Amino acid sequence: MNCTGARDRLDECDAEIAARGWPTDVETHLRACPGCRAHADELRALLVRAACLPREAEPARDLWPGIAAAIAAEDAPRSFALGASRRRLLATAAIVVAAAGVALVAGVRIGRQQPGEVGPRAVRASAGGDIDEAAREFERARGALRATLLERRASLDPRTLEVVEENLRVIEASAAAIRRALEERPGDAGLGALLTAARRQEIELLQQATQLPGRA
Amino acid sequence: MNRKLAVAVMVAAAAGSWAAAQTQLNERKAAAPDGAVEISNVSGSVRVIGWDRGEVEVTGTLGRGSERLEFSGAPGRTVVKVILPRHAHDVDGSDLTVRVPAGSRLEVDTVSADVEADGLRAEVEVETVSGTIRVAEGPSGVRAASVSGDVEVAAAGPVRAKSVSGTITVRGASRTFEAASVSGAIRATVGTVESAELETTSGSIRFEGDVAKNGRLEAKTMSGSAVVTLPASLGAEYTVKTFSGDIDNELGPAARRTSEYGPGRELDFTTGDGGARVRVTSFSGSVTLRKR
Repeated sequence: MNCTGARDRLDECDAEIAARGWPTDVETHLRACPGCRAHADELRALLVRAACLPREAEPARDLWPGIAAAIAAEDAPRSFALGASRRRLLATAAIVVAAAGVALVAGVRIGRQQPGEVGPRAVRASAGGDIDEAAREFERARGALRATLLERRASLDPRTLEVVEENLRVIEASAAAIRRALEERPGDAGLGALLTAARRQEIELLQQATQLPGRA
Repeated sequence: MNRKLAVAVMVAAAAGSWAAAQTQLNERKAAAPDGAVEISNVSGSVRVIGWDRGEVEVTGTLGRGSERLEFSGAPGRTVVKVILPRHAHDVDGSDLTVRVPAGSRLEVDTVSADVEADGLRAEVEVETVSGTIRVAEGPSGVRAASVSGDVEVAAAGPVRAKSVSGTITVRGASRTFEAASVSGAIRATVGTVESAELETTSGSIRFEGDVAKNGRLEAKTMSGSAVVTLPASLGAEYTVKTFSGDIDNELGPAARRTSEYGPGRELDFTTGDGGARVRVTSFSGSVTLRKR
């Protein structure tokens, strides 16, 4: 078994299998391959953490108001000044997107299980919750950033704005095509990863656009 | 003849007045050999050259309508910044040539000014909206980002290059790099990489180089094409997937369809001892694996 085969098999495993032990042929490969061993260990940790999640849980603290406030504070048109505050905001929003991406990919992976081959209910339930929450978080981030961009339209250079909007359309068109493909192939991990990448790119472009210096 | 002479005199007068409207720059300040240098300009150009002196020198011209040049900071951090008047209109670009100690960490921010950096050894970070970025080989690491400008980077250390619609070109000896765009093309002509990630939405990807044993090359595009050129002797595990594009493979077997009815294709194969990993994913673009 090569690495690709081993990783495909690992992707099909659920928390129960991860806790009990990988299939024998996979384990044989893992003993000889440190890279896949590390991957398997990460996957096991993820699956076990997911299995331990409650079906529903309120976050200890809603992070979104802080993020939105930071975006609003950064939003005010200003003279050309870039620096640490901008990077902090980008880092904060990147965490939201990264979390959404992890949940989406994990969700797709778990979603690949066939009926009758399912793992613990908690895994599926919590993963579903994570995906929904990630999707909501993404929509909130996108909505806030698009609103900010809309408010700043007049202050931005029209040619730059045109580039940004054209590229947002490119990303949106790609995401829509991938979503249609996912309807045909639900649970396709490759398509899920592409969709996550498209969403991440959209958020990053919106962040970049909302931080552009205004016209003098 | 007199008419031609009159025109020539008018042109010369206009040129003289133009030159007078610009401020010539020639300033120097002591700087640490491994300090930070921060440069901001709006339009025009920024050229940064590393040298072996313990000072920062700014020459060039301050564009007509600019308020002043801020040239400040302590030896460990030098700031070079073109200041424009508030609500400035009709301001000409400033062309700056900044010589800095070769070991300086460099940060440059511009709006439309093009940026060039040459002869530097430490980390370089450049952000611009529509300017082009060109960083010559030498820095220990480069981060470069532009919205619509092209980005061309060569570095000895890690590279992170981003552009929304501009073309990204990565050259040189960098063993670790990430390049991402939305609609801009990504071109990488490199040596042996340990970790390379190339990601675009609709731009094309072209990679030519080698992958270290246990190294990793990942190329991801939604609708653009991807051409990956590698040595036939490379020992690697290849994973190539496309939802609706074609796969053309000179390095191994032909791709197979992922479904009898769907358009998808995929390809998994191993060459040599399979130490490296090469993963190319496309949604609708074609993928080509070529022999170098």
